[in-house]
Amino acid sequence: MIDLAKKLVGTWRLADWARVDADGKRTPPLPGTIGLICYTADGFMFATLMGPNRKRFAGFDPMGGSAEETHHAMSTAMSYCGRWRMEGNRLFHNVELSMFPNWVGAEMTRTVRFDGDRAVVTTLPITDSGPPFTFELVLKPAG
Amino acid sequence: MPAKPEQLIGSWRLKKWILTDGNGRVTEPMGPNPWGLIIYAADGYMSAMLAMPDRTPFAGNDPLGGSPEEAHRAMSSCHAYVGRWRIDGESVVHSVEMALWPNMVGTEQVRHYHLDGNRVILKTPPMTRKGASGIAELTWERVAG
Repeated sequence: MIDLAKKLVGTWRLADWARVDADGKRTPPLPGTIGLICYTADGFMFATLMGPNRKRFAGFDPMGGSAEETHHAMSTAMSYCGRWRMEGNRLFHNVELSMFPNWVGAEMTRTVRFDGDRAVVTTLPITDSGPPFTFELVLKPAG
Repeated sequence: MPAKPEQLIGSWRLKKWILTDGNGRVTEPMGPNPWGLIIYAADGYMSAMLAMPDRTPFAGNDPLGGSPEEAHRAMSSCHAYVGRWRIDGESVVHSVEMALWPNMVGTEQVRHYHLDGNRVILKTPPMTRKGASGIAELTWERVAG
């Protein structure tokens, strides 16, 4: 089990991801999404996903965008960081900072399996918007 | 003498963020108690995330589904980017691959560093943050393993 955590240490790039329904149906949530996820040996992690073709702001203040600019930027990216740990094949992210305020202080549970040099990270079933589904992220070493 | 990478590898918490304008006026873009975490990974990747404390949660659970007002408030109180890092003389260079702020993607962010015990001060070129322009100084404290 210690080996699973050791294998996860390092930086990973999103190779593929899918929404997986209870009947096994797979849907790519947003084609062209890129992502970097890092697990450090001292127990910290960060995850950032970004959709394609994001629009630049007209101004030079990242925290001074218009309502339209910030709504677009916030609807096309996901970023958080904090600590991580593993218990068996369960992976926990303890979120310290997130662009999404609701996740600050949250503990997120994932399961991990390895397939060759890929790590497959799956969420627990998400049930708050109808029939349950999971997100499955396939990660490859960032290199 | 340039720092060794080992002196920066690890995780650092933000203690103070000040911005000094051309007239010597000092402001704190995220107030007196900003939250922040910089992670310098041993394999050359990094993440910087900074936020104001006490941000308002969204009404819904979808991180990408906030209203324009919620999104505007969230992004006006948070700054995040990831990429690679390297030491170049007296500076640490962040090569930004992804950022909440789209304009930052593909840029090199050069920060002069000053190491002092378990703290590092990163000094920026002139920039604009939350309406104030000038040179920013961010004080970070190493998180004990």
